[in-house]
Amino acid sequence: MASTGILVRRNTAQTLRKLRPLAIMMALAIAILLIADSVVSAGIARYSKSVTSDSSLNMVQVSSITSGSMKPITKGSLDEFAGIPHVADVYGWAQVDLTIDNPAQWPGSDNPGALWGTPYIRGVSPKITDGSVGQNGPGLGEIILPRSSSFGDFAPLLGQTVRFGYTQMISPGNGALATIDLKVAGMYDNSTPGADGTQPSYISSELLAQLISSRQFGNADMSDSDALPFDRAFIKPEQPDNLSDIQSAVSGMGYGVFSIANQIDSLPGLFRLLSFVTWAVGIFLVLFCVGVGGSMGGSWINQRVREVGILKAVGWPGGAISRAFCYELALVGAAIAVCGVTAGVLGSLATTTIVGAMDLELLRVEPWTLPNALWIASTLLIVPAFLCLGALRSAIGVARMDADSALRDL
Amino acid sequence: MSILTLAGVSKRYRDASGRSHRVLSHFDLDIGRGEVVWLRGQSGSGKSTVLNIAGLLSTQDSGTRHIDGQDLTAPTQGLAAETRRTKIGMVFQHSNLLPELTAIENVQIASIVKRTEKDVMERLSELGLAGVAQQQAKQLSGGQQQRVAFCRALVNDPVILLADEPNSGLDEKNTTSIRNALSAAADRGCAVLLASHTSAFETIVSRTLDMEDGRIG
Repeated sequence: MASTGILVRRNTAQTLRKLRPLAIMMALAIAILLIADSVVSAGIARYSKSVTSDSSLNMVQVSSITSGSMKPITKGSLDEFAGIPHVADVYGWAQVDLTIDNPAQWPGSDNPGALWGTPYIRGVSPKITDGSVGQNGPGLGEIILPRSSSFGDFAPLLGQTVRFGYTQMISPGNGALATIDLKVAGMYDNSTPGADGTQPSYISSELLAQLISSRQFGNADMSDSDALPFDRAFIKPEQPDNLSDIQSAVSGMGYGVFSIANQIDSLPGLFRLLSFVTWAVGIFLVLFCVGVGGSMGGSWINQRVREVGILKAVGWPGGAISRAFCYELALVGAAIAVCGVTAGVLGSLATTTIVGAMDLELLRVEPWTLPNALWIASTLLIVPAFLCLGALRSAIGVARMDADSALRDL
Repeated sequence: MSILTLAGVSKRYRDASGRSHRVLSHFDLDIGRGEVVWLRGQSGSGKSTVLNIAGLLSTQDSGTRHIDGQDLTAPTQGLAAETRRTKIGMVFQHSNLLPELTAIENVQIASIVKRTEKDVMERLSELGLAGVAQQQAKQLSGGQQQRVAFCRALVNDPVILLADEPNSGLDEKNTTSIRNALSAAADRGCAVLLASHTSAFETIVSRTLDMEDGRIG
């Protein structure tokens, strides 16, 4: 019909007014879904990634000792590991003794405060609680100290440049005290014992290599020597799925290998399940509302026999009436979806900003996070389609009514 | 030439208790171009049933029906709708406008071709409705609504105009306006079948048929 647009436009506005409570409920459900997606799902995904990719779960720990033999880990070994396919990073692990040189800076009045210089390895080393440290740990001239020790508190040293003493080999079997100035860039949480022994301090791998080389007689330069010894090594795969292949490759080279992921292999599955449950709850919520909407839309159309009678009397065919009703419900659905998505996007921006600022351990989200674009697109398509389909049966039913019967309802 | 022919038309209705009631019995009617036929009779005499059958809103139990030379005794739903749209204009006792639509839009939805507001406005102006054309139907008075309904019925230049108690509840001024509209339609060659129990249209009718118990009296 030439005038379908006129009828649909007018009726859409009318239907939105009549079904306002339902429309608001559906728009709210959509908004809640999008907000939940951007906050909870993103939080779970982020936490899952952090746990499975940026932690010791996603590390292969290499030792020089196997059941039958011993193979030293050297700088050359690290280069070999780095050449294995899908290896993202390789870290040598060793400890060097460090002491605070200035007695005035000792945590205890009669104790120099022995610290063990340890390479900072992201995901393995403990959490840094204070200070300003880059994402990849301390820089070459920086050090991270424990927050406290049994002798006293290191916190006053935060931000200061401290002179540390260490042992330098001057001849076979003879060492002498050498010093190095390092800025205390941060404090780590040592409230629970870690895997790095008693009272470690954290330095960069480059600095560790320098200090180890000075332990070698003749100050051997790290870059020229493949012989610098490490007690252990850590290998980070590009993806958690690459872990077992890398483990096999390293094992094949004669080293001892170990990974926590082998022991907690159900964790990634748990995160996938959590993400799926959040997704399924969201889908259920939307489909429930759409189902209710379709049902109420159908009921609303069933009440419009009078309108059908008039349209038939002026010559509208049944098919044109059904189509007009379907277009109308689709437009109503589109209006609801647009309102819901708008509210969801604004709500997501606001909620992620608030939740992000709260810095929750289990729900780390980036501020100003938008909902998933796929969700937005799906919502904009699914809601109008389902409302239209939900009302289709009623629309066809009333449009098939005999004109006389419809008018008799007047 | 006959525009509307009903021959031997009978119709029964069943009430809520399932009992059958005869409303038309062997009814014959023949209306020519430009003719105004007045169906006169008491309530329940079958006037509205004749109009519904003539307007293809209802089917007869027996008898034949021809409109503009075409046999429409048992048309398909699609053919019935097309015929209503292109050849028949109907005005009901109550205007039966869509209340949310404006006067212009109520006319536009009946048009078989896309008509601009200006085009429709001209037609509404002829019935003195220019000032209310943009108002929603529910905001119009009864007389204004009925005139809009006339405009809607005539928008496709039908060959037959069916009017069922078109002046019901209207004052003399509005009744006059509707009478003039009916007369003008007949002057243009439209066959007019009018059902009314008042004599308000007596001056323009060509023929009067008195109905009683579903028959011509």
